[in-house]
Amino acid sequence: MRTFTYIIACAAVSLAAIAAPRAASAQEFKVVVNSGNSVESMTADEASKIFLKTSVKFSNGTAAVPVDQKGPARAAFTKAVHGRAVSAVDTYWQQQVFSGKDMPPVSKATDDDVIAFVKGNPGGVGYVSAGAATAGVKVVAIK
Amino acid sequence: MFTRIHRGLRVVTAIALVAMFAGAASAQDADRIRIFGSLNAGYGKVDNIPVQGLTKEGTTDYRVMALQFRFTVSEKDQFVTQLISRKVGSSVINEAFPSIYPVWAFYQHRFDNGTVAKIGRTPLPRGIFNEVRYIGTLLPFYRVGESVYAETLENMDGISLNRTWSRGKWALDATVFTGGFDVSALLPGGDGKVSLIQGRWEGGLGTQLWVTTPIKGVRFGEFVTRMEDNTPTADRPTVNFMHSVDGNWSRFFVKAEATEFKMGLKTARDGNYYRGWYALAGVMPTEKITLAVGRENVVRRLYFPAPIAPTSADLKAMQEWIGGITYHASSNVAFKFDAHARQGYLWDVAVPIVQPPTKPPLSMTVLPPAKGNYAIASIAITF
Repeated sequence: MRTFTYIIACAAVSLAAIAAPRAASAQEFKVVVNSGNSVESMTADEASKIFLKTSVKFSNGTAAVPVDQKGPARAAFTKAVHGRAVSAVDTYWQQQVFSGKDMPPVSKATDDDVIAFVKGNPGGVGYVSAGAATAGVKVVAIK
Repeated sequence: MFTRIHRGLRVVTAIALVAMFAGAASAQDADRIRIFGSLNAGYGKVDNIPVQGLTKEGTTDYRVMALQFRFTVSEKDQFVTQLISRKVGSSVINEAFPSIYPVWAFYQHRFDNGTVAKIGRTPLPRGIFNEVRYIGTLLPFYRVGESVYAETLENMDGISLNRTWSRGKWALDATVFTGGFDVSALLPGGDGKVSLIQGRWEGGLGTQLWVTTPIKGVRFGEFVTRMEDNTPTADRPTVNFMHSVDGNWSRFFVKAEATEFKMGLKTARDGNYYRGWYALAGVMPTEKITLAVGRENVVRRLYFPAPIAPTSADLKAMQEWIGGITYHASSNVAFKFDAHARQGYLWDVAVPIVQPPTKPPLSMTVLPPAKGNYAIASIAITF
């Protein structure tokens, strides 16, 4: 019984350790879409598919135009949404590019550049740092 | 024929590149043109018989550069071309290709249902590595397995359609294609030299299927194509199969592929001509280091003229052990060292394979395989 309790305790600690970084990283970025887009929220899986371009539309049928970024939000977004390291996503895109299949989303240098891109594209979707100003675009929740 | 197609492609690619840049300049929209590149360069040497363009003296004339241009025509349409510049040490492969040449030049359209159509000179989806065979950051060793990829079926001129279907954790990715292929093979001659034989197969029709399983990281692939060999030496279509197993996890990977060519050559009387396979496995003790081992194997069927009996024999043409280490400085830069121990009859110089009979019984004697080792230190970069 004591062994069983110990195993349960270890499992709980491990789960907490796994869950904690995800919760923390979820607060380190915001996903934004064009203000004309009716989408209010996305699952992490939906967002992942859009940013990896395995899905080309939002749940409401709007064609998605994802934009990536080189800023600090990338690591947090990649871990929380794709569940992988940035290097793994880079390798995925190398595979896609050099097998002639597809290319990664356009990548912008700063949060402001991402916001400007999303504003200018009806299907635009990007992510920015948690503290970035998001006037003119809509922040959607990642469930 | 082969040269004419290459020359035509170079002209088409040059015109397309000029048009792409002119279009972008007028649109002032740099996002519509994306450029990607790759360099895979190394130093290698052998301890005995020249192989893979390497000699005892060693060479740094060993590299592949790829430059890819993607022009976004519209949300659903792209034009893609990829140029290659390749040097393979002292190999006769160098004589077959211009210093820079287009390996791809195709137009791509994505339909609303997710189907992607490509038309032009397109990468041939064949196995795990065919399309990325020169991209060092994606390869465990300097080059892909010679046993299954060799110098052939790299791309095709024609049309391909690709679509992916998902159900739960299962997924099926299917590509069907039709068109013609450039084919080439290194063949030993009676003069002690190895020559690169080039040809063209038309009427190709085939498919590559990938089944992604619910087991995370595991997929299975199946490729098959038939091709018309229009040379006088053939009297029926050639068929190629490729079976693939691909497992990728965060800290290790296993990959294995087997291919078989059933040739339409008149001399290949039972059709079985070439079988090759490789298996490799790797482990990443840290995020920066990959250790990999591999094994390659090639069996070729030899045919002998009557009255020699038996009239054919399976030859263990090549067997190779490979060990390698990669240091990933980043996802775009990798330093590699791989060592290879080979035995068999596939080298850059012709080695004796059989000894003809001088008296009855009239049977061929297969001579012992030649042995040698080689090593390559390389750097791989992508951008």
